[in-house]
Amino acid sequence: MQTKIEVNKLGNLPDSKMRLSELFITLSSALDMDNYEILDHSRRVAYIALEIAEMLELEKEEINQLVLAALIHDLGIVDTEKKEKAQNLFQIELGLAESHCRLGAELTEKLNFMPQLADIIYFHHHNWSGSNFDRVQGNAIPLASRIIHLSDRIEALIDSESFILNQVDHIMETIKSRSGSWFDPELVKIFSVIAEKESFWLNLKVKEYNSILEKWGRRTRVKINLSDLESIASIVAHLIDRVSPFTSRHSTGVATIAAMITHELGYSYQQQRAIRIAGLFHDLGKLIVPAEIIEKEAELTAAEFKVVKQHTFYTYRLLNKIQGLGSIPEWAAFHHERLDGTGYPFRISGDQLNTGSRIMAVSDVFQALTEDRPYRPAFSIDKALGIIDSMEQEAKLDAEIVAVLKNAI
Amino acid sequence: MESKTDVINSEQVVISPVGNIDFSNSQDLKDKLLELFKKDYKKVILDFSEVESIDSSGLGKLLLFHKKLKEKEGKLIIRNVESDYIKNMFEMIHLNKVITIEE
Repeated sequence: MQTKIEVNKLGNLPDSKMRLSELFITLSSALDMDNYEILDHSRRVAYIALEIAEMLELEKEEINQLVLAALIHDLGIVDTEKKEKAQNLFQIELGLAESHCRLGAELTEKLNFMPQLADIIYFHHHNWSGSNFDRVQGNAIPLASRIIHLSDRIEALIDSESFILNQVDHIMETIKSRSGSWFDPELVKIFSVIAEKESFWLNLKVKEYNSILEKWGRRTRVKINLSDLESIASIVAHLIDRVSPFTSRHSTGVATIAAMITHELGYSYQQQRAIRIAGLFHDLGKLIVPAEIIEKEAELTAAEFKVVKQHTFYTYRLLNKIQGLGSIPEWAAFHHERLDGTGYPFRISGDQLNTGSRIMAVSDVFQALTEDRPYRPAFSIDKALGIIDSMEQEAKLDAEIVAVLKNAI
Repeated sequence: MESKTDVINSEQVVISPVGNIDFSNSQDLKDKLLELFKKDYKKVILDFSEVESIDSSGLGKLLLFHKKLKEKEGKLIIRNVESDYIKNMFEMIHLNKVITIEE
């Protein structure tokens, strides 16, 4: 957490350079957020793909694209049931493969600073022998897609419940039996060499892939502008939309209102935009909360509310892993903190909440009250402002920011 | 900011702003919209065919107006967005899922 907070300042803009690896690992964690926990599927596939690419001695840039694509290869699925299917079944259904590759590629195209990735993702379930939805086969399938296909299926074969080295023979038999039909035979040969090393499997067992990916990621530092960042935030909003459309509309509302308040307070265009990005990210951690709780049509029980309360912790944890995001993690994740220290989950108070975090808190409360929730219709604007007034009087929300919001209405 | 107002009937009205909706004029837009709001139109259509750009202040005010109309069971519709910049921005922040954008 930040140590020095200048409470009367907005906070800091992102740096101009960042590691793509860190941005994509956060996206991959958003994808792998399952009910109650973050799975490691995407990172494990990325690690396997990296091992294969290094054995093939691919160029640095090719490796980077491959591993980045591997991290987000499942962008097309977020639905938990389908995620389980894709992960647990070795034989993925053709229909599911097709729809998730198309959708994944479509979303990836929105990252217009990484134009090469969409194709890699589009082809990542294509079979070598051509029994595919569009009959592209063999070497016409991009090499990176072939590597991800193989890596993804290897990962799906690993059973986390039993000792990994006892599984190697079975996994290799299964993979080899599909060589030439599903998988590029050359890649299966290369992988057979890797698979002989116990260390490869043990890296998966003890989660050493995290530090291996971290080391690789140092090679991915590039210039990133606010427009690039906003396209990533936009994809996160898409992911949220698929599990909870109202949460996604909520994020849009918070982003729009927060950017407006930032504008009215006289901050620059860049600052308004950075706040808007934080607004799109602010409920990223809601992906950890099971849909049946988020979409529940009745008041939450105390136990369910505890589950919901984790969401800003996860928003912070995932964003704070990215070096160079400026104050975006704090702006996004502190929206349930209150000036008097009664918020959650960090229980910090006004002396640690900069203007950006205060704007986000006011915008979040206003947007939440004035939108329909599964368990209640929207409050009127007047009623919402009444509630916000009393929160301000109890020293929970910032008076100046509340005044700016009221003036805009 | 110039804008043209076409009253279609007692329920519907079309406003066509011209140029940039930005900090210098989003207050004007707000006043204009409020005036129509008081006249109880149920459907307010913003024709964007001659709008070139819109800033954070303008977007925020559109969202607030959308909320106000919704409260009275009315509807804000944005029509004929010509500018790619505006189209992309609405999609990027998913505002097209909140406010109805008609082709």
